[in-house]
Order: sequence, then structure tokens, then C-alpha cells
Amino acid sequence: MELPEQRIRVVAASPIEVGDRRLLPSVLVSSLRTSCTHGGPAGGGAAIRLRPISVVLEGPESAEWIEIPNTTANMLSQMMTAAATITLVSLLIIGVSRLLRQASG
Amino acid sequence: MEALQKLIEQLDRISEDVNVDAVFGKPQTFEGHTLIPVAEVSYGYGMGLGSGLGCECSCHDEDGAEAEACCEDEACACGEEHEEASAGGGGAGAKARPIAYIEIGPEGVHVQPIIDDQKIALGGILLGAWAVGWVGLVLKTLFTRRA
Repeated sequence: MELPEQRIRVVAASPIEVGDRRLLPSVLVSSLRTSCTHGGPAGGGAAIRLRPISVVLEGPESAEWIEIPNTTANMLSQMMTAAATITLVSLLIIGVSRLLRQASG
Repeated sequence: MEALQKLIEQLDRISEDVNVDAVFGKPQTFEGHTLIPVAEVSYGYGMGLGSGLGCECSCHDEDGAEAEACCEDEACACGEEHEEASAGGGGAGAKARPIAYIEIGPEGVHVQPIIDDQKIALGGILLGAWAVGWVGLVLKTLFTRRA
């Protein structure tokens, strides 16, 4: 059984022309692959995820970098952080409470 | 097994040359504004192949051609080898989820995020339940101490 191989790279997509403006998009490509072909049963698989990162906007005179936020993922991440904080604070309160109880006999 | 190895190598090559242009949609112009949809794309595949001795012997009786049924770990009555069998399977899936659109107009270029309300609502409910559970546990601990 081979260990899964993970690759992460940033790839420039094809430029998009809109009027006199040109957009140069970039994409984060993360892939995870695994395979097993050494004797006996064999198998393999892969998962690839493409996530847009940003767009560079080229105008007639200037260029501008525009980030593409993944708002849903960011909000879910904030919720996870809040859940972890609630857990830690609760555990801290419970731990201190038990220590005080033991100290008071 | 060589065929599977070749197939996996072919699919690996496909995953190497992924079409990143799938992330950005075709620009759509509407009332002087151009909209470019942006999506998060993910896909995957998996396959497996196995072979082994079958559960039937290739023994034939004198009259007919019926195979003698017996278990894999039992020897065939006529001394012949079990017939080898192989099977395989695979699957693939893809998902595209819109995360934003780029709006290009006379006043400039803006990126408007697309929020998945269903996921946010589900996350909020889970977070609320998690918080209520922990607060309840803390209060129970504190009240137990005072009693």
C-alpha cells in the first residue's frame, strides 16, 4: 500500500477578455492520489479540488489584484473556531471548579 | 493487474492536466454589465480489482456438463483446480459549487460572494446546540459544587 500523494499548486487559467480589460485568473489545485497494485487485490483513487484564488485585472493603463473570497467556507471556519473556543473555556471552568472543590476539601 | 496499472496511470495523467478553466464560467453581458461566474470544482474517482479462486469446480459428471458446487477451501472431488475468477469496479463523481461572481461595469470591477445559506444555517444550528450543551455542563458542575 503506497502512501497517499498530495500535491498543491497554483495554476494560471486562460485569460478572459472583456472589452478593453483582460482578466488573469489563478486557481489553487489540490490533489490527493493513492494506488496499490502490488500483488493481490489492486485499487486506486484520486480526489482533485479546484479553488479560485484571485484575478489580476489588466486595464489599458494599470493592473489590479482582486481576491476571490470563499465566504461560506470562511463563515463555517469562524463557527468552528467559536465551537473550539466554547469547548476550551468550558473545560477550563470545569477544571478550575474541580480544583477549587478539591482544595476546599 | 497491468491493465489496472495502466488505467490508473492514465487517470493520473488526466488529473495532472486538469482544466482549471472550468472554475471560471463564460462571461455574460447584461445591460452594460458583464458577469463572470466563479465556482469551486471538485471531483474524484476510485476503482478496485480483485481475483481469486472461484467457488465452483470445473468437474463434470459423465452425462451432463454441470459444475460441482463446493466451497473455495475444499478440494474438488475430481482433483481439478478451482476456476479462477476476477471482478472489479469503479466510480467517479464531480461537484461544482458557485462561490462568487465577478461583475464588470462602467463603475469598476467587483467580486460578489455567493453564500450557501443552507450550510450556514446548519452550521449555526450545530454551533448553538454545541454551545448549549457545554454551558449546561458548566452550570451543572458549578451547581454541584455549591450544593
